[in-house]
Amino acid sequence: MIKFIFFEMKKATKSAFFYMLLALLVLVVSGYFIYNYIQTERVEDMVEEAERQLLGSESSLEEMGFEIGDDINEVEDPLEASEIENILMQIETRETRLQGYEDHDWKKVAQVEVEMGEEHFERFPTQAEEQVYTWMTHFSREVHLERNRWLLDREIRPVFPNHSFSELTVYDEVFDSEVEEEIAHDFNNIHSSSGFYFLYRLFELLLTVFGAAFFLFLFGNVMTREGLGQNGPIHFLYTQPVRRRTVFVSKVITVTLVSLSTVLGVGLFSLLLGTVFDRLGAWDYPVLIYEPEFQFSFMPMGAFLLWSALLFLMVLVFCYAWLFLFSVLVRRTSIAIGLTLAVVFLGVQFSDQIVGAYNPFLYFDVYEIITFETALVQENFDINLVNGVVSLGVSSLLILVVSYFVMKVKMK
Amino acid sequence: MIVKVDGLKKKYKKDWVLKGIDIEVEEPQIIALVGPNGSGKTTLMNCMTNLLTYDQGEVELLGQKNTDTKIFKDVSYLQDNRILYGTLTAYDHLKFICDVQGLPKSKIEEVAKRVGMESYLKKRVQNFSLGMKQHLLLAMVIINDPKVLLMDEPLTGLDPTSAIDMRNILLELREEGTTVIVSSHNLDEIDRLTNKIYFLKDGALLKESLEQFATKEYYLTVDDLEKAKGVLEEAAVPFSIYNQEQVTFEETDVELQTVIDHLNKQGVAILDIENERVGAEKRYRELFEGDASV
Repeated sequence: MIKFIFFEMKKATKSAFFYMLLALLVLVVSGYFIYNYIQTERVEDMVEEAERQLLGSESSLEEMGFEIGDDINEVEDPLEASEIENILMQIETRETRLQGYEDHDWKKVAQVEVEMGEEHFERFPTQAEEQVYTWMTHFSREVHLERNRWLLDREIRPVFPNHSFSELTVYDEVFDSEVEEEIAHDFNNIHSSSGFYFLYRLFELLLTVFGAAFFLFLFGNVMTREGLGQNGPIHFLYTQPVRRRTVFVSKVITVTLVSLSTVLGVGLFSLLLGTVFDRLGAWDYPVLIYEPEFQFSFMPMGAFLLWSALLFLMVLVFCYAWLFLFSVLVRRTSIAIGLTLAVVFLGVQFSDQIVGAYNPFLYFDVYEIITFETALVQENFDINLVNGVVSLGVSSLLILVVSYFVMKVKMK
Repeated sequence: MIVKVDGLKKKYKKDWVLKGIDIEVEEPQIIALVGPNGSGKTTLMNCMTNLLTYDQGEVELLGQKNTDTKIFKDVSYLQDNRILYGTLTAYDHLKFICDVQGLPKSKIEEVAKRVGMESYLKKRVQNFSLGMKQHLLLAMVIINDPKVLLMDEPLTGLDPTSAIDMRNILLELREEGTTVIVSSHNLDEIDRLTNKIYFLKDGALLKESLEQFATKEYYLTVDDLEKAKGVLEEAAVPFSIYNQEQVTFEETDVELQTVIDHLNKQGVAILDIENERVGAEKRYRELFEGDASV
């Protein structure tokens, strides 16, 4: 079997088309890295922003005829005194934050966010009931607070911007205006050229139905190139002292292994790009995981990426199973790929109409599965990684068994 | 029994393409399978190697059923060059066979040398000529020193030198104890390989030994053609005149020595004797005359 797999790998990889597509992938990854690199908010940007904010607070103070060092007790108007007090506190916070940025003291930066969050909840104790679905929801603020506690505990450098407005969750459904909605999405659209965060953003793009389509093109002729039933190379394989199902199984294993290698290769390449041009980033950067009843937790980003890659691999196996079936049925690469893509796109399109956690088409958006976003939206927490792997695995196996028997019949 | 095909029948849609084929081979030898295009030669070989299923009958190779893929350690099948992978090299193909069959890597160089393809062993098959592909196909089927070798049109696309080389290799294999079943259109080459020919006509096999047909046709150049004609007519020798230049007759009709004796006795000088084998071709024409594809 292993010899067969090696031979299959050689066949799969020794073609100009294969390398052309890989080169295209490298180009896309590199291009997306450049985009992220340009879009990344650097420490210098944050220092500049913090200085600007500090200056703004100081100007406000000046406008009120108050200077730092003056005695606040001398202000006669209690309303004005309270406002000055607030601005003074704001200045203190902003100075601490600025100091944190300048010293690269990420603990200090996170601490500021934590204190601001705690203070907010103290000042607005009823917000949990009031802002359930209106941006910025109580849930999102809680997430922001806990995220910074996580960063603080682990002394992780945050990706910027890291303020409460950069948090956008599935509960943030209602916005006061379109402009506000646009701003919220802009703040939440965080880019970073650090290795892990870049990979997180890249996989968000790649581990989708479009990524699956790319892999279908990469391995589109894995069955059809054997010239099934036309005195093609399959006859060469069938006249070797190995069982016929070995030929079939080794193809499935080969495309799975090469796909896994490609995903891992892309992952390593992304981490390398990040490390060389910026920094590796944190393995345990927090990724939000939804739980029932407005609960949530975080998952280390490294683990999140690994689980995502695993689920995506199962998605690919499911796609390959369809590809194999159509390949043995129609025997032409372009038609087989076309039919597979049609089934996949239609399946994904109508997946929310087929209720149930065991519908394999539900699991194509792997990020939303691992974060339980789909589960939350569909109000079905059985839609999870384990059930995804099981339903994709079982349905792939069934389709592959059918494909094998169709192939046997067609070879007659 | 080396090869046993018993009552093999194969139907495509409603048409029987093989109507009960029986083959029994007990001793290593070369058997030629001859028939026009579409007569079922490839189908028969594909059925024998279980690449195609069949409707009735049984096939055993080296005493084992053809459904057991283990037989391919000792049985090889040279097929159409479409079985080759264009993006792989000749070496890749041969290495795969060595890997799967547990053969040492040294066999690759050895077989490449034997078929004369060392110079393009590491080149991609997509750049091969037809002849080079045939060489590779040959190397692929003899690398495991098979006991039974089935060959479908092995001489197609070969230049005369390569054809001679292949013929010599097949004769060597026969000497080494390999049973070769070869289908071909090249009757001249077949004639040189074996005198055991199975004609495939209308889905049935006509097993014939060419011994009975493997006649030589002689062409005698004489000093006096008219006198020679008279002598041979008088002696009741069946003959004809070829190209108004030579006396020609078949070995089966009269022995060469008899003709020489008749002519010498009457003072006709024989200047030159040429001959050619006509057995397979003659029989082929008898059998398939009038068939569209002949």
